[in-house]
Amino acid sequence: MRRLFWFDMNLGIWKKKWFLLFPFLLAPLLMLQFYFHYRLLSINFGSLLMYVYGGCAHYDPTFGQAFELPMAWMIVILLPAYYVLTYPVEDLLGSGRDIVVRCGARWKWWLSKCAWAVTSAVYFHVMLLLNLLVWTRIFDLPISLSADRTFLSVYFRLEPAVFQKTPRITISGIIILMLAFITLHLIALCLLLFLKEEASFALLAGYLLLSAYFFSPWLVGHYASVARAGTVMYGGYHVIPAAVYLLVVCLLAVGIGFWRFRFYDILGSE
Amino acid sequence: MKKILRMELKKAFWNRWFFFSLTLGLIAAGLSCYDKLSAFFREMDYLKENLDVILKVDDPVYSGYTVYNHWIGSSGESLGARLFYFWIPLLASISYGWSYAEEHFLGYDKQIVMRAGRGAYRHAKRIAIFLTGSCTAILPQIFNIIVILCFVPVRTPMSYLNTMYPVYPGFLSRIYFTVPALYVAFFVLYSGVFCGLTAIFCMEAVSFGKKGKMAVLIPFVILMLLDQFLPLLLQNDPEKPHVLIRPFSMMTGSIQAYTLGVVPIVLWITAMAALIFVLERWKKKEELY
Repeated sequence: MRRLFWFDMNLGIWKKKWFLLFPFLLAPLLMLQFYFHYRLLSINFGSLLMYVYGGCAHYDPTFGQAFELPMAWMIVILLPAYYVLTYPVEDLLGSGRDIVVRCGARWKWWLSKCAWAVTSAVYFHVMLLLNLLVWTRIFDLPISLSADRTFLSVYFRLEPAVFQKTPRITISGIIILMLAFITLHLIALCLLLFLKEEASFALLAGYLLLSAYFFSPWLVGHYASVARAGTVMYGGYHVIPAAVYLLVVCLLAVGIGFWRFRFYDILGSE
Repeated sequence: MKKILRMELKKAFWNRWFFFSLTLGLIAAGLSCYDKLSAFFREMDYLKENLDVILKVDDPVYSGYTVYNHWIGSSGESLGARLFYFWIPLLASISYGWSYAEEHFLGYDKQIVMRAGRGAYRHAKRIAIFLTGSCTAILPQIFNIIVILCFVPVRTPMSYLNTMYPVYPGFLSRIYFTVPALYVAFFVLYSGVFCGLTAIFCMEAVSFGKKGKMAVLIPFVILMLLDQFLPLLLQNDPEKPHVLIRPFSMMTGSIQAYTLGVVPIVLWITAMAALIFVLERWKKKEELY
């Protein structure tokens, strides 16, 4: 099992040069765009995190205002998801099939892929966060996890009263963010056992858009949006229920995938 | 060429992924119909209840309620519309963009090239991919317009009611207030051509080393990156009026707070067509069958 996991780490992360590089390439681009658009406002590291991981704070269609796609947020979620959907398929078409036969238990292969999906989510987002931190220093912006209320109201096009008096991102908020990304990766991995990879990607993209459009705690994307944390806006999610919900969804995704993979036709995967 | 084109078209329009993409597109277009029609009936009821106080029947305010501001391209606030315009480049690629990747992976393409010639095979494939991609984008929009036409009257928009329409001053808005049907047809056609060309890029991604069917997603991922970062390259001054250059938003006919010129639209199409041509020529030199 351990050997299988390291094999996946090697082939699925270490040898994927673009996957390793993306956080380093994305961070300066996001920083530049953020800086050029909002340099006139009071900005800091917290504002940058809101820009990248904020998603859509709250959208109310009754005002007739157009829904703005949170594209930066979509990119940082869908880009690693693309790799999550690529590697297991490549693996099953190549040496993975032999590995499943040789290790004698399908569950080992599946659990190894789940562990790989979790590690890839953590790697991508931790590296992106660290890079954003470095670029914040390079642009000489204050390192603070509290965001300016004016910036939030301009960026999310909402009344300042929607946000807390001192909106701030907590460490537990960042942990929930990571947990949400891990859950999304596991959902993508589970979808792969039911649908083809491109259809899974399309459904995941649609699901994310739904999560941004609706302010619903039942959608996992709700927790991947740091602007919806209770410490940032009134009526936002709380850490404990969010963590419990995400862990339950994670377990469900692993469980459903485990059950499905027992009957999965690995020879017909081509 | 004719024979292989007929075969490709049959394969393209009679496969489950085309129907899958079309179904998702129709669901999104249907959602938009539901959103816009429920809002239309709600507002009509309100106007009828307050008719004596606020309006007379022939009041020009009724001109604000026309099919031209209820079709899918005009509804920036509707979930269906946002979902549709975000999805269609991807759905267009999924519909038949995968075929070259699969045939290349299985080695089937070499068999066809030996029998029909490389040019005929690739041209036929490109035409089939373009047509399925375009149909995936255009058919749900036509469906949406037909459903909206069943309930909402066709009235030429009045320029003095411009707050009720999703357009901003510019050349295209002049068309909108004079020949609105042409404006709608233009955007439906543009989205079709754009998605068709995007689907062709799946084929080019395979030619350039990306093996497997995941090549289908490469054009969509690149479009997402361009949508986010292209404004950074071309306009970084928040003081200046923004010209719309984001690919996803440009497909909708709803232009809010942006000026949409014909030039960016023509540039996008020309750039994509030219890139396909260049990639094809480049690859032709390197390939040995």
